[in-house]
Amino acid sequence: MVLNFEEIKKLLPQRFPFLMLDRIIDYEYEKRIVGIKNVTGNETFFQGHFPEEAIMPGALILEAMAQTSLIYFKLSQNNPKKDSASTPVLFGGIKAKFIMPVVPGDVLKIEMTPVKVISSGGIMEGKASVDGNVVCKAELCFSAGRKQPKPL
Amino acid sequence: MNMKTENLEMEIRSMIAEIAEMDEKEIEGNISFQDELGFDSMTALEIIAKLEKKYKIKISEGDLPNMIDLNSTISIVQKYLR
Repeated sequence: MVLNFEEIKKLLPQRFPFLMLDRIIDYEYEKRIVGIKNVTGNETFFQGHFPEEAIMPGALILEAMAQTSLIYFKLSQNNPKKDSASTPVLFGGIKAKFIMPVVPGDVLKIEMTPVKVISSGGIMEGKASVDGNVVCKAELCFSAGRKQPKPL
Repeated sequence: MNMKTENLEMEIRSMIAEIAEMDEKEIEGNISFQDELGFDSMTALEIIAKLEKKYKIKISEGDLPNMIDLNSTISIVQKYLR
């Protein structure tokens, strides 16, 4: 295990009921990050999505992928502790494809690879899978909320 | 301008136009990406990621502030291709 739940909380600003990540099991700089989200029937969103049939909202699968990407971003910076959990991050461009529904009992494995990550943002792509079956593929483009270098 | 630069210009221009969802004609050599075309940092990032993939180069973060228009982008890509 690379990061447990408490360590994840130190790097992410999200809290209950919006922490969509339980564990980081693999991290390699410029290669990949792998996160785990255990989906239980007790999730608050299942109350309404849907009352008669629990299906994890696709937007929240993306949230799990976004949070995994954010952890990668924090870990890949020289000093992740420096801007702690409070760095606001804006996810701008998202391309996603949902392949299968995610239901209670599923273990969501999120594997993201960096396309390009710089100190003020990045692009990550990857997939979420359950038991080896891909449930969602996505590419996320984000910008960290701090002073931008005079861009492009 | 030699043949090679012209080809590169055409390729990069159409790549940028596609990412920014603009007409290629709007992207002129010295029209500022930020001030005149309204690109944001995420568009910039997408352009860099695409350039890196297409030309199999690695653009350093220090070059970013200098990529202000099409001409400067081309010369930065050329620097890495050399």
